Amino acid sequence: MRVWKNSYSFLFVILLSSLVWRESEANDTWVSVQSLKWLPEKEIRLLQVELDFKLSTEAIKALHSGITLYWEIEVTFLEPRIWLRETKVFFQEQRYSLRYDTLFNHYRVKNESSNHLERFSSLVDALEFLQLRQYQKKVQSLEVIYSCLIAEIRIRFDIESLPIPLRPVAYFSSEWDLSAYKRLECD
Amino acid sequence: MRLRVPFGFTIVVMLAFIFLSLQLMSTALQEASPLSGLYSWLLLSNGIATVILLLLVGLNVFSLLRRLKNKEAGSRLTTRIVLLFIVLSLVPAGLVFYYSLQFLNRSIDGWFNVELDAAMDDVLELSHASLEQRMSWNLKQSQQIAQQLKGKKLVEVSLDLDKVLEISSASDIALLSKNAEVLAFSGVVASDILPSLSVTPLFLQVLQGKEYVKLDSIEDELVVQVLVPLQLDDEYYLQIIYTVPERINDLTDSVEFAYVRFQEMTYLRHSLKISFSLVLSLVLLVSLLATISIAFISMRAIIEPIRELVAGTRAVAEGRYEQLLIVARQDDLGFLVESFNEMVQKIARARNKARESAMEIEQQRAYLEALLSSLSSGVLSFDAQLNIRKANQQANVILHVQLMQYFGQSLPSLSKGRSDLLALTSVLQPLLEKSESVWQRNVLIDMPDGQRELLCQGSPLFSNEGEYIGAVVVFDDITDLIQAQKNAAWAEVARRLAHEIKNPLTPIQLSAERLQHKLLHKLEAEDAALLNRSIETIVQQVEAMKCMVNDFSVYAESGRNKVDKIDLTALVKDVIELYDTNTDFIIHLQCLKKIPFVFADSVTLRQVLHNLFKNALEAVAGNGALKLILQPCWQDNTSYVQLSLYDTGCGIEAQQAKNIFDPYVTHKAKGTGLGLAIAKKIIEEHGGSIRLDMNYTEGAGFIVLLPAAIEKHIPLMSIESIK
Repeated sequence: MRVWKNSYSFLFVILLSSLVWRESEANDTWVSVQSLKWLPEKEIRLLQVELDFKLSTEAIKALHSGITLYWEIEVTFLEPRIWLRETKVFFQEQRYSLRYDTLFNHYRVKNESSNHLERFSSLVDALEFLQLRQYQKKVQSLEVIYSCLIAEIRIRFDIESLPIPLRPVAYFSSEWDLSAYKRLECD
Repeated sequence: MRLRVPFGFTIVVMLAFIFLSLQLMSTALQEASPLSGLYSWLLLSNGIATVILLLLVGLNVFSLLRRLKNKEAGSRLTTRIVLLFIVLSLVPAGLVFYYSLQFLNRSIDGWFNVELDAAMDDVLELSHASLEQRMSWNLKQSQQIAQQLKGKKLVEVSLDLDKVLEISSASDIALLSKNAEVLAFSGVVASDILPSLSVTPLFLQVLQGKEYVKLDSIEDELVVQVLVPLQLDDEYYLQIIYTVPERINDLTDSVEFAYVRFQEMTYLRHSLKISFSLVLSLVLLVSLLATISIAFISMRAIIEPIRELVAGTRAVAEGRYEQLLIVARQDDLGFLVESFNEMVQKIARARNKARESAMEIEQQRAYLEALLSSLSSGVLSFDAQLNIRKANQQANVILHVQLMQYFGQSLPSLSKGRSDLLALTSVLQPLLEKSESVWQRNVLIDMPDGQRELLCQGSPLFSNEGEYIGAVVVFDDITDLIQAQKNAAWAEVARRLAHEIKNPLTPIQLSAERLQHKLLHKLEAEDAALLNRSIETIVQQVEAMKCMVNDFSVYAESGRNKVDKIDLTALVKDVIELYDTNTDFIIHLQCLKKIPFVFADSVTLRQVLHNLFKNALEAVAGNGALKLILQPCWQDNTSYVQLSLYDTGCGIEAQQAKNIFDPYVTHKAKGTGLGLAIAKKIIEEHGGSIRLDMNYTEGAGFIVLLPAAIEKHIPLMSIESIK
């Protein structure tokens, strides 16, 4: 039937255009992992992470409107196994919040895991605070130092912590795509 | 293949799930709801369930469209009801949706206006101004404290800190070196040994002689941190932390909370509209889908009995009356099904009766057919328009035409291409048109096998109601009957003539001879010669009359043939040899190598051949030819031997041809006119026939048919020509 064929074509065009539109929007990356590298240290495996934290216009607007933004930063060290699943040898999860204090006119970054609080007079300072991270794991022997480890870092922006009306929009808008992921394979 | 979807149960479950989910979503949207964390999941599950429901409804719509295309029973009714449901639900639901959206948008917009925004900014600014005033006052107070302590020794200042703390109502006070080391400290909480706030990173700014005052918070309580230089024997600094009064603290918190909340709500205004619109749209969509689903479910219950009824109707149309529908409902449709079953049973009974009647009629028709077929008369029936409706087999035989191909046509159409039937149709058609009672006519027609006389009797046909419904004509070929009657009459005449004439002939002859014998010597020569001539004439005429009487005797005799199986070819050749002496009369014989034998009396058959040969010889006046063709033939399911004779004589005129075989018919100066009559009589006594071949125009032609002694048809093979 010609009508059905036309309907299918119409749906296909809509789907394709929405994907193209979504793809074009997704070109802007707000949060990314700039570098992920092992630092040579004795008795520890030290991972240095450099993040690039930027906020979209919409996120800045929300922040200045009193909405607190939450991220979860997960770092995992994995030991590869042949034919087997990789073994997790190190895992750390930290939850950070970024908030603008209207009264004090400053930005507050809080490690929700440790309740450590930092205040910054500018947003750039607050974001810079989040950018450099180091993770370390003590090792038992030299063999482990030179063994192969895989590092994974996942920065997950917690949409579910946003106010309810904002959540459906945040799930489908690239302005709220404030997550990142990177994996460093062993040499 | 019909698409079967577990529609009813699935849709009811899905609808229940969606409405529950919508209710939960509505709850989750409320402030501080424990379900707020599930909002996204609820929305997702709601969306998925709606899509599934949409698919299920879509499948049903697709199925309905296909049923519409196939023109299935109930599909149009379902379409109308579903459309009606959609319209009835969409109009009020759409209106509610539209006005709800309008109301919602206007309400949300109404929460936020320029005045309220400015007021909130003013409130915040007021709060800031109040705090700044507080900070300014605390700075001034700190400067005064620094002034009072100025010039004292370090130890004295350290000891005076408690007193200063008490006077200034600060929460803690610390004496700092140039290196920001805490030299002395005094706090409200005796156990504290360090300041509640660390030295500001802007300490360098203080080192340059500037005062530092800043608003901060300790455990959600506002404090004012002040750093002022203290001139002792060296450069020292005082860090004094003032607690903001509880009332101001609470008010500031409240203002900040309200402002932040207002800003957040302002920011979320658009998202709120989208969320509410989304929920309302979902409610509208689900309501619409629920309506369509209810329409489908309801119609399914209604349509099912209708489908069964249609199936039952089709079964009845196909002649199946055995299967009755199950009465599963006690409503109007159940009553309809019951009525249908009753109707089907009545139709079945009526059909059985009709079948029995039809069988009876068929039996009667077959009987009538057999009766008509067995009749020796031809029967033709006509409808009310006088078109030929029926004819029996004998009619075909008599008229030499397949009447079946003229069924439905008028009687005159018979004569198209059959001019010999024109005489029949021209007589019968007016009689059929005009006659209102039984009529009878004798009709003479020229058939290929000679002139035939038909006795036709007709009668109009009327229905029981007296309506004219056609006519019937019964006709018999009475040619043979009339001929037989004629033959019998002529035979009787011949017999009486022979009897009455033959007896006096001998005395006449004897008396004449006696007169001659007695008187011849007594008369003069002249008289004696006259007597002799007269006596000779008498004797000759008596002889001639004897011959004629003999012919009469032969004609009168019948059934005295001595039938045997004879070879007709050999017999013909024997007779030909008798005429072989005459070189001016040439006889050609063409025959198959194998001509079947015939059952015949060779003596009488020889006489027939003699008669025919003699006629031919006389016709050609002793100088001409006679061509004979002997061949087997198959006619009217009987095997015959056909002998055709064609002379080159003067031929026979059409007027004479009609009664050429009648006795005493001759066109010759001499002759009794019994030769062909005797030949015909003998041949017919053998079961054969003789007729003139009217197609032959170069002389006279006769065709003689004699039944063959075998029943098998022998195909034409080769022809032998014999002189």
